[in-house]
Amino acid sequence: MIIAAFLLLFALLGAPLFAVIAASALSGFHSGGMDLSAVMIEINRIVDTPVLLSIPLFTFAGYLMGESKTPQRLVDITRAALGWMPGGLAVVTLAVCALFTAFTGASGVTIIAMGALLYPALMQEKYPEKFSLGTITTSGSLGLLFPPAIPLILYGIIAQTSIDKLFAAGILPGMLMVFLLGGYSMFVAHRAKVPTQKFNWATLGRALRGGIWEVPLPVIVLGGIYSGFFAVSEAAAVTALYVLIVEVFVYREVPLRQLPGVMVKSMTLVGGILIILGVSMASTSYMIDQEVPMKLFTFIKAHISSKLTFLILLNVFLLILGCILDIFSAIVLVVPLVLPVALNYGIDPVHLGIIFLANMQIGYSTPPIGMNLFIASYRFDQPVVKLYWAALPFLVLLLAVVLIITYWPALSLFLPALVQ
Amino acid sequence: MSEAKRPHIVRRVLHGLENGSLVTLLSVMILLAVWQIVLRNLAGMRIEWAQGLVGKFIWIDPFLRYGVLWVGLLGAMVASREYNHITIDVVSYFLKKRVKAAVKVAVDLFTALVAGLLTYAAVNFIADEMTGGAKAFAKVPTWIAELILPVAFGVIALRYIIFAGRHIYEALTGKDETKEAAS
Repeated sequence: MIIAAFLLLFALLGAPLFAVIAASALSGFHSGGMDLSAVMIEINRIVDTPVLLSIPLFTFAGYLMGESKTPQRLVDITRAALGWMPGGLAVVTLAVCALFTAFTGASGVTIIAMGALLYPALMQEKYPEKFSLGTITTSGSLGLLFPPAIPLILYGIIAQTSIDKLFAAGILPGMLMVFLLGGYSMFVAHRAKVPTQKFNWATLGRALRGGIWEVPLPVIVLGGIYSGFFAVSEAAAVTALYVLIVEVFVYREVPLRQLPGVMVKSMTLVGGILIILGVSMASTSYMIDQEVPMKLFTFIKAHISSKLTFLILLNVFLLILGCILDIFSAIVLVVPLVLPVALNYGIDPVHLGIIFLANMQIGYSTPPIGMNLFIASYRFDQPVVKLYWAALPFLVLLLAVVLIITYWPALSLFLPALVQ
Repeated sequence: MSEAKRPHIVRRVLHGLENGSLVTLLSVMILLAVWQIVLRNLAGMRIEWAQGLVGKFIWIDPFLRYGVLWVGLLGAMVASREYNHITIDVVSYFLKKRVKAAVKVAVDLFTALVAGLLTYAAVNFIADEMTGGAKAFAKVPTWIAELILPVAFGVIALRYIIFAGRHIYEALTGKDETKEAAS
């Protein structure tokens, strides 16, 4: 108990989470009379998980696209296709950010790369400032539920659930988020009397030709996976090589000598995630050894009998969790505890994954440590408190979607049922 | 601590080694992973030379799995050199500069201690693996393929000791040295 309080204190003081988790694993193994090298056996289990390969490869591909003019081309295409709608540019922002985040993982790349293009454009078209800031801030994590987002892969690994099914499960809930926020944007644009643009086939054609090498990418990834042609990690390998060839040799926007820098930068993020994954496998194995999930379930079952009440509490718990922990640490630390309990309440592990990530997505934009808020604050030179308020209406809408996702399992489970 | 006395050469060599191995390894992994897919599909189409090659390249799969461990830990080493690990960090926003530096000293020493214990665990683990004699892939024994574990945790521990030294200086003088540390 004293050790736990001590570790919590260090975590709150800003100690690297991997060190805090490793310390809990080390002290647990030590008090259990086990050799400390057993901790290393657990960390070394990283090599027994083939699908982990997809994490460095997708992350690298995402960073590389962020360094090239992919964001600009994506904006051009989406704007030509959707710009005619009322609130067109805001809808474009949502769609583009969601798509880009799915590939880059919500690591702040979206806000930095897309925000630079879209925030000035939104202001120029006379969208209210607060609305524009709120759109960009919350869009930074909007694509988390779309394949091939890293959090989906990580959840699949931890929960030992089919990643193919998780990819399919996130699509409808993710689209619901985009549609609801899109509707709100149209309403705001209408009220602020933002002028609309005419649709033009020639413009769309030109934009599509400009991005002709990148447009097929989602088809290659998803088509490859669902036709059974690729495994997830193979799709990642093909994506990485394809993006490398396209950006460096076809578009020539990233010079070859910059490539090492992009690799190192993207692997720094991957290293931060994998080291937490490694030490968490050790701490989890200790907790399972101590039957913590079972004790947790017995305790919860004694107080909560209905699945509905459990889900409500789960939502509250995950929202608070999302306010203090980043999504990767939350997945590796909390899923092993929550999953067995949720299974006992008859919740599908794929559905739980979508609930988990949807809640965590909101945490990106909530005080006190919502990463999107700080990145946007830094990027647009605005006080964080102003961004709290700007993000609020979006958070309310996202919360509504989270509730729909939680209490309507079919929304998440309909598509995976078609994938066999 | 000899690193602190002559920062330039040692640090530059170490950074170069980290970056160089990361870049080389990631590039090789991308190419091998794609080559494996090509080969498998050609063999699936009953193309003879490809079928013959499949057996010669079965080491790719375990190589890639160990590659993830290396890339991940090398990335974690770079993350610690940039003082850029994932943290919660709620409290420090409310602290004054010198108090913040003092808190960082405690945090750094804690991290160095944990990483040190992990290094100790990793050294014992490698020693166990050496007696086992199992192979990771081809003729490479597992203990060599896992050698990055003690190296990474050892380097991380050293780095946090150095950070602690910097932050002690900062807490005493109020001068900010962390930015230099990142370079």
